[in-house]
Amino acid sequence: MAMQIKLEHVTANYKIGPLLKPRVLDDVSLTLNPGRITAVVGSTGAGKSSLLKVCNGLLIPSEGHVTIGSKEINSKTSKQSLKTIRKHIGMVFQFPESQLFAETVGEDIAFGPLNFGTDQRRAEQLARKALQQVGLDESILSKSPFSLSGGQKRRVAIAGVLASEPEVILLDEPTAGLDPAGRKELLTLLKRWHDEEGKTILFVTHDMESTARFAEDVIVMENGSVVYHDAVRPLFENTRQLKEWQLDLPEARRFQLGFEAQSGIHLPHVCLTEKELMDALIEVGCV
Amino acid sequence: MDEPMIDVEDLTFAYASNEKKQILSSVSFKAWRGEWLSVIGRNGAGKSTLAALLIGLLQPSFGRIRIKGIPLNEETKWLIRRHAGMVFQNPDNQFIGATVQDDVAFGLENLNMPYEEMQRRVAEALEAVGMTDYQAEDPSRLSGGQKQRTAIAGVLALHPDLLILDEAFVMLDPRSRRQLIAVLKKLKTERELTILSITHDMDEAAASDRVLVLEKGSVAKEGTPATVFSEKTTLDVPFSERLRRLLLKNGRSVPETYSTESDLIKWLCKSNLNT
Amino acid sequence: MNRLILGRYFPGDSVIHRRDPRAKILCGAAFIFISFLAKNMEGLILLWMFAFGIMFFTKISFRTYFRGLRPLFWLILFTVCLQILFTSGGTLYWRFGPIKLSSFGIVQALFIFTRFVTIIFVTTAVTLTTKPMDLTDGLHALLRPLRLFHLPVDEWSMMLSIALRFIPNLLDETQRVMDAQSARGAVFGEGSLFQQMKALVPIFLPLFAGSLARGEELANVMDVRGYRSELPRSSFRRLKWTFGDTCCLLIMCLLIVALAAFNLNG
Repeated sequence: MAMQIKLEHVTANYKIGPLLKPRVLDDVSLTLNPGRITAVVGSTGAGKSSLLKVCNGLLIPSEGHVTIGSKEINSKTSKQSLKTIRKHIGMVFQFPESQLFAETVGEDIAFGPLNFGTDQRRAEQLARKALQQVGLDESILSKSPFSLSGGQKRRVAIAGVLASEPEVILLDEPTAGLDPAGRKELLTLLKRWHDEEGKTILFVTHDMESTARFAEDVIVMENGSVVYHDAVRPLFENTRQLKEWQLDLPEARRFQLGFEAQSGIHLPHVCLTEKELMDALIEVGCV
Repeated sequence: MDEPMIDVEDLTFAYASNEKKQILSSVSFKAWRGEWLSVIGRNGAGKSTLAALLIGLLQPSFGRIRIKGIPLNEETKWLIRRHAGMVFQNPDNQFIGATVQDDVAFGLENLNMPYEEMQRRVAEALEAVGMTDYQAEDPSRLSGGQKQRTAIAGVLALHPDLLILDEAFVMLDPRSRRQLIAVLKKLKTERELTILSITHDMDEAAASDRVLVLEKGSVAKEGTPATVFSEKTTLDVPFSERLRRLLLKNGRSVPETYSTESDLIKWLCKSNLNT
Repeated sequence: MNRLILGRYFPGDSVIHRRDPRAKILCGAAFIFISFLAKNMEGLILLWMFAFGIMFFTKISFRTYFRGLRPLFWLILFTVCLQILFTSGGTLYWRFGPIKLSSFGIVQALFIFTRFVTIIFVTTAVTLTTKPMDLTDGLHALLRPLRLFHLPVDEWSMMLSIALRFIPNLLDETQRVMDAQSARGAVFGEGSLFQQMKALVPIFLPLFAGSLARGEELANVMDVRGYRSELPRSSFRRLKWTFGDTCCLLIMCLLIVALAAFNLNG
């Protein structure tokens, strides 16, 4: 049984050093469907990262509460129970390669499992498995993480989260800074992990291509509130609404709208990939 | 025709610690005044090394670089940098000033420029990138796109001939990226600015006049976006080309070469009218 | 870290906020110097009045200033007690071995206490009302004559302003790495001292590596943008000395004269 995450009237403030940003989350209520891939989109500062943080207790709600499986996070939750929750909810930060620290790749990946109380032998097994899940060869286990290329570092950092065998994985812009091919490879890996293990993925992105091709559901955020939470396709149907939320269109949909405006022909459905667009063009007899 | 803005001949680079492994080998190309040249290629193809060499941060192992006819070396690099600038990848690490206008002025201060002249140039450069309203903001209150605009303004204030972008848009969201491409297009035509952009963003490459493909440290292809994108490569291509290739593969009739999105839409509408 | 008041800037638009940083630095330094001139009760009262006057004009609540004292509370208490218990002279009220309570001791302690607290109040008022970058500019301008002695004043100022510029980034980065390691089950501030120290390694190593990379890139950026420490640079940031700033210095002079007069009479 996959784990359910439920937010009820969650309001949270963000504090770092002397800076305080009030109400980064403003009365958010939502239920994440287990076993689904959900994208979180919205303009900069809309509260996307805060939504992820509140789901594993890195940001504690000032009002309302978060229920994870059978556990609840509120202002009174102890450090120990937060740790139990974090074992099940993995989180990959933006540019996760900047958190690597250990002498070897193997040690770095095993850091999570060991913290969560796994014994040394099992942790090493888990590290091997996670490395394989991110498509890297076992031979790098004994290398220093600082000697790897940028793309490899990113994967090692993600393996470090997968190794704890979480039920849910939260990712904050996992593909930021990667080239298009690297972006596709990483998303394919994550999708495979999701398909094989049937786990929940929640990821923040600015990239509508990844949203259209990879996600099943979308959450749209604006000024700390959730303004849309539903399947992907209906979101890209309402172009006026998208503009208001300052969201882009996937390339195929943009092309479709351009074509429809110029030809006066209406394609039968919302197209999110070039394949769908081609099929629709064939269907109306345009090509 | 006069002197090319960038003239690179037989450029070869390897780190002293590992002389056998050439990051760049015998790279030659030219870029002309007012031209936008994109250098594309996968990670590790030597793109960023090329940028560092062009602005004199690294010295070539072999070959030579001329900027506006001046051979680039340790002595002339300061002279060249008075009229050439580079925007780096990370928006945070290149913001030196306490506020937007201070940062734009940094390069001018280094030239020991009189105060009034600096005032004028900073205002003009901020105007050109649409950051006038933010001139007194500090970097913590700016988005990545706004920081990169500030960095571009910092170069523009020098009244440059050459702007080098080293994956400057990689860390930005697609919307900021598109806005910045539009800004650059305008600047290029208005000021006859030569732009060399190192990138893996296909929209950026499609917006340029000419594309240079680097593969494992050598020039693999060179030409207009249309010719480069039309050829079968492992490189990522713009959406309209992906659609064209897909239609072609499925035995449908398509334009013979790469066309931009609006051209392909026009073509589809026209072929529809004919049938 | 959040409790530290000294060195923080409170945005505002008071008479004090508007003063030129050079005037504020000069007055602050002068105040430290003249607090040692006060040798009698009239002097003491004048110091308190001046300090509270400045605090009042910053339009920042007195509570903030008192919070600023808190980290130094034990140091103040210790020094005052030392003065009270180990000074002899005047009327002796009580004694136990080397420890004694005398009228001289009490008066001395009162002077020490006044100096300590008013100096903290006045310097806090300066830093609370001046942006760190303006303080750097002010210091730079005031230290500029030292260039005659071949001291690298311009480089100091550049270093200081870059350090200030990157503090928010460093805070951000620290928070992010801490969050990331917490998400992987690391717990901070628990267990034995050794365990706590060990828990810091996964934070400091990435931060250190990150700062090195950042520093290298920053050096490249400065190089490309034509920064050469050996050449003269002009300055885009301008300080504006106004009539109000001159008044400030005059008030300071008056205070010095008054204190000197009290000493002569007393």
